[in-house]
Amino acid sequence: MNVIDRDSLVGMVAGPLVWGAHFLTCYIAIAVACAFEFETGGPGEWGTVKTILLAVTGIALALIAVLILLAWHRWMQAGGFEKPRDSTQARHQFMAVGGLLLCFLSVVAVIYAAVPLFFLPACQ
Amino acid sequence: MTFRSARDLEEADRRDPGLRQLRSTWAPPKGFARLKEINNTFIGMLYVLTGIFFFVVAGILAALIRAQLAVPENDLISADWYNQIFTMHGTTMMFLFAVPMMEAIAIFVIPQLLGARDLPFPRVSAYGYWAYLLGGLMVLTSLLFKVAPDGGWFMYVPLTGPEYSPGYGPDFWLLGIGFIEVAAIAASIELIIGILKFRPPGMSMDRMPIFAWYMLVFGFMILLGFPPLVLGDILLEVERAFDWPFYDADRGGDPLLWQHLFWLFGHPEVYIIFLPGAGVLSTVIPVFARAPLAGYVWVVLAAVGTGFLSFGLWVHHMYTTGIPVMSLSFFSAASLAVAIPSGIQVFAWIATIWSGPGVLFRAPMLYALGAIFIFVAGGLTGVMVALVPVDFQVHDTYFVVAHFHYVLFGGAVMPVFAALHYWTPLVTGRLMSETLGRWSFGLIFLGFNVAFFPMHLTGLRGMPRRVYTYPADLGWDWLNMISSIGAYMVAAGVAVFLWDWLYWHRKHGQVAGYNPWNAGTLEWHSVTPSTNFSMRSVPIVSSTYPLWDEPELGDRVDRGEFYLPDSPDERRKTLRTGSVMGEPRQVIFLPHPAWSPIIAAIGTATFFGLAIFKLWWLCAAAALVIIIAGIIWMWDAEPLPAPNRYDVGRGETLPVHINGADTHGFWAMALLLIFDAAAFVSLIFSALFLWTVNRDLSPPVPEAEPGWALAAAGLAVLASVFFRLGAFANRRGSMIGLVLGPLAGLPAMFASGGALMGSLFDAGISPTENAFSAVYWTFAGWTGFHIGVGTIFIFYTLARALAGKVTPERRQSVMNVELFWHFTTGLALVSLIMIHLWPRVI
Ligand code: HEM
Ligand SMILES: [Cu+2]
Repeated sequence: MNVIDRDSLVGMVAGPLVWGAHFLTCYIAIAVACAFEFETGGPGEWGTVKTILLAVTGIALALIAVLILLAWHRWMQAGGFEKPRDSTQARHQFMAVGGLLLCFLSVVAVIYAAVPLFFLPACQ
Repeated sequence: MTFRSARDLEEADRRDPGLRQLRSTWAPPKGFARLKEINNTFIGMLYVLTGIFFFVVAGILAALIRAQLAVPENDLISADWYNQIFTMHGTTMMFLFAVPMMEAIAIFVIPQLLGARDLPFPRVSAYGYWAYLLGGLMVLTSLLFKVAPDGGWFMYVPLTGPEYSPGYGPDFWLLGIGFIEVAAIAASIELIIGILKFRPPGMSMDRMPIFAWYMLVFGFMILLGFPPLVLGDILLEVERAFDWPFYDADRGGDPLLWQHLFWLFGHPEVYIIFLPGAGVLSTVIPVFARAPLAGYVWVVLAAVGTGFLSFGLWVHHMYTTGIPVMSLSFFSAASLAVAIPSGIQVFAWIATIWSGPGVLFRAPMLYALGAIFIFVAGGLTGVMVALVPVDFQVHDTYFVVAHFHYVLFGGAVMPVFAALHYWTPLVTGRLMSETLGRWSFGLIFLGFNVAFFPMHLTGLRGMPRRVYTYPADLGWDWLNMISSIGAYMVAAGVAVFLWDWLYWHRKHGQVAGYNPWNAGTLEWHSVTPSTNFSMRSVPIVSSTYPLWDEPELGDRVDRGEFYLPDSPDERRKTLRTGSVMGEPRQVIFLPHPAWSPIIAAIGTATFFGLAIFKLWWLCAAAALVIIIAGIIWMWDAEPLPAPNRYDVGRGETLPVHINGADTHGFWAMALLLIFDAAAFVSLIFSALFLWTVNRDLSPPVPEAEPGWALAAAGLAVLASVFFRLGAFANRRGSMIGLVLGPLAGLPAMFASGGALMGSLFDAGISPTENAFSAVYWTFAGWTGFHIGVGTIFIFYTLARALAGKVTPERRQSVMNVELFWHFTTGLALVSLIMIHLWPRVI
C-alpha cells in the first residue's frame, strides 16, 4: 500500500501521528476519570486508569519502535551514510532519515508525557 | 545569455516570439481593469502592502499605549479607550499582520521559488486577498466609532458575552476576524497544493527549497489550527445573537469552553506565525553565509516536528484555571518537548554560518541575526513560563507581555523585515539602501530591547498587564518610562524602513540586475524585477540550490530550453508534477483575470458587515450575490481542449484535463473538507467537554421515538447511494442516470435533514434551554448548512450537465460534488449519534 511505500509522506510522519494519538488518549482519559471522580472513590479506580495509560504508553512506544526499525531498514537499503549515486537513492535516504528523526522526537515526547504519571496526583 | 539587465530582456523580446507570447499572455489588464488581475505577483504585492499597512496601524496603537503608560497616573487615554486600544493592537497584530503577512510573502515568492507560473487557484488567492483587505478594514472602522472590541485579543467570555458586552464590539471581532479566517484558509489550501503539486520537474521532496517545507507545514497548521477558533467564534456569535447558552454557566454552559477552543487555535497560532519566520531565516542565512543550509533533513524535521507538537500545548495558557494537575503536566511535557526542534533549528543556522567562508553582513542578514537573538531570549523566558509554578507567579503580569513580544518580534517581525529586504528587488528591480537598512535595523533592534527588557522587571515587580494606568512609587515608574522610549525608537526604525522601502530605493537604489545576492534558488534565475510568469521556461532541477550547482541554468531557462517556453494560444498555463518525485504529469490551464473573485469578496464582506447589525434579510441578499459570483466563477472549470494533449516543448506532450483523486481540484475539495471536519470535531469536543465539567446536568436524552432518528439516518445513506449511482451512470455515459441520481438524492437528503430536526422538535428540545440542547441544535444546523450548500452544488452540476460540460471524460466536478455529498451524509450520521445515541449510552 501507498502509505508504507518508501516515498510516502504519511509514512514519514507516522511517528508524530502515534505521539498525537497517545497524547489525546492521555488527555481524554484523565479528563473523563477526573470528571467521574475516580480519585476520590467514584465508580472507577485511579490505579486502573494509571495502569491503562502506562499500557497505552507501552503500546505507543512499541509502535514507534517498529516504525524506527522500518525506517532504519529503508535507510540501510538506500545505502545509509553512503553518498547517493542518483536522485532516487538521494530521495530514499532523505525520506528514511526524515522519518527516523521524527520517530526519535516522538519517542522523547511520548516519554515526557508519561513521566508525570509516576509522580503526580491526578485531579486537583 | 541570461538577461543581466532590463535592456537584454527588451532586446530578446524583439527577436524571440515565444517570449513575446508569454509576455502578452501574462500582461495584466490596463487601467481600472487592473483590479481584475489575479496573478500571484500582483496579488502578492498588494497583499504585502496591505500587511504592512495593518502593521503600521497596530504600531500606532502600540505607540498610544506606550504614551499612556510612560508616566504614572497619566490621563491621556481613558480606561475605556485603553481597553479598546490594546485589544485592537493585539488583534490587528496577530490576525491582520502576523499570519496574513506570511501568506502574502509566500503567495508572492512560492511560485517563483518553485518555478511555477502561478499558484494552483489564482482566483482563490485573489478572493482571499480582497476578503482580507475588506475584513480588516471592517474590524478597524469599529475603532473610529469607539465601538471596538475591548475584551482583550483572546476575547474571554463571559466578559465578551451578551451580558457584559451588550454593544457591537465583540460582534465586530467575531464576524470580522471570522471573515478573515476565510482568507487564511484560502491561502493555506493554495500553498499546500502549490507546494505539493506545482514544483518544477526533478524537484523531489528532498530538493525543495527549505522555505517551501516551512510553508507546507504552515498550510497544514492553518488547516487544522483555525477550525477550533472558527467554531468558537460561531458559538459565541450565536450565543450573542440568538441566546444559545454555550458559555453561560447558569444554563449548563462553561466559559472555559471558549478558552479551550481559543487556545486549541491560539497555541498553534504562535507557531503558525513563527514557522514561516524560521523559514525566512533558513533561506536568508545560507545566502549570506555563502554555504548550503547545514543539516537540511534536520531542519525539515524541526519544521514538521514543531508543527505536530505545537498542537499539544494549548492548555499551557490555562494553567491557572483549575484543570487537573495531571492534565497540566501533559501540556507542560509537550511544551518542553517542542523546545527540541526549535533548538535543532538554531544549531543548524549556527552550523551553516560556521561552515561558510565568512558572513556578509548585509541588511537581510542583520535582521536575520537580530531575529535569532531576540527569539532565543524569548524562548528562554518561554521555558520559564512553561513551568507550571512559574506561570502561577507571573501569569497576567508584564513578564508575560515581555515574553510573548520577544517571541513574536524575533519569530515574525524581524524575519518579515529580513524577507522584505531580501525579496523586494524581485518587485522593484532595485536593492534597498544598505545605509538606511543599518539605521532601521539598529533602531529597531536596540529600541526593541530597550522597550521590552525592562518589562520583565516591571512584571516581576508585580505590574499587571491590561491596566490603563498605575500609581507612582511602586518602583514601576522609570521602568515604564524606559519602555516607552524604546518603543519610540522602534517606531523611528520602522519609519526609516518605510521611507526606504516605499520611496527612496525605488528612486535611488542600486539596480539589482541579475541575482544580486548570489543566491542559489530559482526566484533569482534571471533579471529583476521578475516577470508575471516567473520563468521563461520551467526548468528541470537537480539540486536544492540549482543556481549554485548549475551556473548555466539561468541561461538555459531564459533561452527557453525547458518546458512551456511559449504560449501560441495565449492561454495562461503551468505544469503539474508528482508530489514526491516531481515528474511532469499535466499541463494546467490557469484562469485569466476576472471580476468574479472581487465581487464574491465584496459580497462576503457585505454579508459579514450586515450580520454585525443583525440585518438578516440583507444578509440573504448578499449571500445571493456570493452564490451567483461563485457560479459564474466556476462555470469555465475543467477546460477540455480537443485533442487533450498539449505540446510542452522538449518533444513531450502532456494531458490538459485529467479526472481523479490526483487532480488539484479534488485535493482542494478534500483539504476544504478536512478543515470542515476539524471544525466539526471541535464541536464534538465541545459536547464532551461540557459533559465532563457538568456532571450534575448530564445531557438530556431526547425522549422521542427512535423512529425519527433512524429515518434520518436511512435517508441520508440513501441520498449518498443515489448520488453514487448518478456519478456511476455518468461514467458509463448515461446522461439520464446522471440527472436522475442527484435529483432523487436531493429530496432524500432534505427529508433526512427534516427528520433530524423533527426528532429534536418531537422531543421538545429548544436551543435556548441549556448548553446541551444548544449543542444538539448546532449539530443539526451544521448538517443543514451542508445540505443547503450541497443543493447549490447539485443544481450547478445539473446545469453543467445540460450545457454538455459533464461527460465520462470530464467528470471532475461531479467527483468533487459527490465527495461533498458523502461528507454531508457522514455529518448527518455523526450528528445523529451525538444527539440520540451518546446521551443514552453514558
Ligand atoms: C514596538 C512594537 C510594539 C509595542 C511597543 C507593543 C506594546 C504592547 C504593550 C505595552 C502591550 C500590553 C498592553 C497591556 O497589557 O496593557 C501589548 C500587548 C500586545 N501586543 Fe504588542 N507591542 C508591539 C508589537 C507587537 C507585535 C509585533 C505583536 C504581534 C505580532 C504584538 C502583539 C501583542 C498582543 C497579542 C498583545 C496582547 C493584547 C491583549 O492583552 O489583549 N505586539 N503590546
Ligand atoms: Cu502557547
